[in-house]
Amino acid sequence: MNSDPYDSAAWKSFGMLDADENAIFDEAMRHDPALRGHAREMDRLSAAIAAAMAPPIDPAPDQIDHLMGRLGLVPSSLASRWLAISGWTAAAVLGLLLILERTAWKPVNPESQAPGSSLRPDPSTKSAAKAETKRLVQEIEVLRENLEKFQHRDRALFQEIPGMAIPVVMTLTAPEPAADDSPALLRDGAPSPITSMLADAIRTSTSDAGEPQETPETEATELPEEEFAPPPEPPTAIPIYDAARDSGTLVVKHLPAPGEGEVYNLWVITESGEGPVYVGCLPESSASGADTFDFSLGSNMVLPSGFVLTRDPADAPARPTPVNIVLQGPPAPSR
Amino acid sequence: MMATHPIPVHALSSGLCEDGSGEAAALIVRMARGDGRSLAELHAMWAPALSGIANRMLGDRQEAGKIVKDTFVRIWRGAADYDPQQMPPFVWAFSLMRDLCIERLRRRSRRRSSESTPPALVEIAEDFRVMPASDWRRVRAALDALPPEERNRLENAVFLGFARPRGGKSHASPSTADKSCLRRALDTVRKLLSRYEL
Repeated sequence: MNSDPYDSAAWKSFGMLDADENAIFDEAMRHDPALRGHAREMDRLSAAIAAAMAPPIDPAPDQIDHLMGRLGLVPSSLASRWLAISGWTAAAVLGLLLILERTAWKPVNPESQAPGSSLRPDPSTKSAAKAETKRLVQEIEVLRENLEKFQHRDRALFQEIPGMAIPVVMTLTAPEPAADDSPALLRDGAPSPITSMLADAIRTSTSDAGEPQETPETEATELPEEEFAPPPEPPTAIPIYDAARDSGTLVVKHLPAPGEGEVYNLWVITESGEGPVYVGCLPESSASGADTFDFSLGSNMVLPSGFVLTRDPADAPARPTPVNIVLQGPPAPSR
Repeated sequence: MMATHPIPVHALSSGLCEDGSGEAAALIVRMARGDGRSLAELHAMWAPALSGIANRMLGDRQEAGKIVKDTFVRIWRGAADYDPQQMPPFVWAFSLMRDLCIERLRRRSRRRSSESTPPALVEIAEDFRVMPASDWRRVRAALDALPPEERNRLENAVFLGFARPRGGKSHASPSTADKSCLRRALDTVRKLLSRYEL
């Protein structure tokens, strides 16, 4: 290997070192910041020259789909295809169930239960079977037509049609706190469920006293007005999303200001089965009561099945967990 | 509009190929969080440039496509460890891809077809998502200032024309004269670009 560190960095960058020289260079670079600096400088120079000299080439159109498939991510085109397949499957299962149900509920002729009767074809049974067959054939025709309709619907579902919207609207609410969970919203500021229950109990006992009776006990239970201030309204958020145009607005109400150095992050859940996908962070809201934020999901091929709002440190957002989820919708199934 | 994930621009070191808007670095941050859409966005931004470079390095468009895919797989898997202060995003992606190309070339028994005759200087549209417009002009001006022989050798070296195959010498291995010529070319380019902090 060359003794000049700059030459060595250049030969390394140009792939001119053999395996042994490469290993020696890498080891030396770990201990020598100057050499590391030369190597980075050569990388910058090589990247700039390469970009300036090589005409760009459009990659194969399906390269990104292959890439995402390889990484276990669901490409958007596959997601829509999956929806179409699931539509077909649902229709087929429905059709099968209808047929089975009719067969299962076919009235039983008591005469046919007589010994030996199954060996003698009954003309009336034969004509009934013919009628049933005809009816089933007609039903299959109808089902086939419906299947074609479903297929067409799924194909058309994600095509933007002027004047048409595919609205998705849901309300996000605070998740039910579990025994071992401490949802982000309850960590500070907001009253705990126990405090709320106690306040309700005191309020109920005072209102149940009926007509005002100026008893010393009643007076004694009266607390300063601020302690009876109505509890803060629970925060809600309503995402209104048009899947046909990939355009959405998030309407939030009574969302407390995030703590110092914290932000709210919005996530979307799709039916693809992958985890929540990050949408963006809410800019600091100027309104104290309600505010709206525009968002998009980057593709109009996505039908959201849920949204989640989390609160995280601004520089360290994390995937939604029971700890950082503030609001979610639709509500998680009760545990 | 909802904010993306701005990486403070002042946190990035200055020099060639900087990600001035912080857009690429922000996408990499989102990739580290598992956001597949950011991978698609970064792919749309860089795949044409990287495909062009890989094609020049390997001389085979199909192989170049595979290498670009492998590069994005590495970017996805390395996103969590990426430090924008160490290296601008595009330089990082380029380095990952170049290493893959070197490996590929070393495995090859045949040489690429374009190694000895680098294509003539062609006008390439400036893509600010890859490199700031001012950098494009500076780099091209510096290369234009080189004597043709030095420019050809430097270009050949950048596109791995002198890359050494495994366990042996390539017939394209640089001679002493080649190395001297490369040194002169690099010195000139460094001098011309030094005020822009490589």
